[in-house]
Amino acid sequence: MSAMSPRKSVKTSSKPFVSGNLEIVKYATWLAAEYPKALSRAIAQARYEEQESLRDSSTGDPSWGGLTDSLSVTYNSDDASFVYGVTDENHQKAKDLEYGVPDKSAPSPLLRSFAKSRETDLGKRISTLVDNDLKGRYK
Amino acid sequence: MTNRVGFLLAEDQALKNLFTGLTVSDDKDQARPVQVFFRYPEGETERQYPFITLEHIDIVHAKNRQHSETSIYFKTAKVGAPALSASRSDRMDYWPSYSSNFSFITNKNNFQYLEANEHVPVDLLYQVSTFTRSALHDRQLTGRLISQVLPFRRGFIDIPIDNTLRRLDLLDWTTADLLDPEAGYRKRIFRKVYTIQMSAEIPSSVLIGRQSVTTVVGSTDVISSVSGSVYNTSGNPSAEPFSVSG
Repeated sequence: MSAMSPRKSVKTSSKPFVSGNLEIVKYATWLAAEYPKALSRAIAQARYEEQESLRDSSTGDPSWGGLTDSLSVTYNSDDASFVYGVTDENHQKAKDLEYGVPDKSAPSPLLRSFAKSRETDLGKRISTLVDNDLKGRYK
Repeated sequence: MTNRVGFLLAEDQALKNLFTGLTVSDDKDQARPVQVFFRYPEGETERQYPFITLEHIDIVHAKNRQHSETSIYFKTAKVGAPALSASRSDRMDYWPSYSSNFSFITNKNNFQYLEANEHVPVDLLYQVSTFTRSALHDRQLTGRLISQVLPFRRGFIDIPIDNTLRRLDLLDWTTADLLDPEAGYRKRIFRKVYTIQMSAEIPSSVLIGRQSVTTVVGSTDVISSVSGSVYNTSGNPSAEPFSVSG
């Protein structure tokens, strides 16, 4: 090839880049595979804990006490939200309690108050669960 | 109407003002007024539809807005101390739900600054319900409230007593229609329930009068030859800058 071909002198590839610390590469590879699983487990665990806590909080309320087993917390993966509610046959009774019925009962906002009070701590709880899960599994 | 003073009183009044003055229209009346009540009106109150009810349902500590222990300062009119620029995070301009100028501290100009701990942030939850007998009025009120009174992301409320603009966020709204007992459960009452959240603050300390530092006596000497990180303050300890509580 003549000297008229400047591309010849330009490097078109390089050797694979490897960190000087292989343990980091090993951990990053492991983390990429395990993080989604850990997050999924943490959300499931947090959902269960939330539901138990919500049900516990209802037992002290005479209005809601009869609906304790109907209270549920579900996770909506579409918008990454937790939904606090009643989805069984007691739905209308729960709605009447939550929002009140004019001339009969004032609002007893158990669900909204509970969800609001958990707004900050729930995220931290999931983060802690993920962290503990990953730390416990990495060898 | 005079402004109500105090936590919850100022917020309640501002909320009622926000919803007061709404009208709906129909074939018979182009500007039918919408009344506003705190709680559902008692039986002896004649109900004229449509109307709105306001109910305070909860107070929640707003942990996402809580800072660590921080002192905040108000600069009084007393001369001789630097002003606090508007960009400072420790500048105090109001006493929540109470005053916009600290006029209730009658001797405040004896001091150059007033100091307090940063206020505790809370969220006030309100349930706002609209009651109408006509689907048309229901739609009009729903559209008006969601587009103008409680717009997503941009909701705010003016609290005149402390001259603050607070966030007012729509958290949830739902349909909860009723059958009217006064009409033998044959007529519908259209009810929409809105859950809204207003930001608020509660003072966490008393106000303390402060004077600015006038003189710094003494000097700072490096006494460590290892890293220079240990210092010795020398000077007359009895001549320290002073502060006055009041």
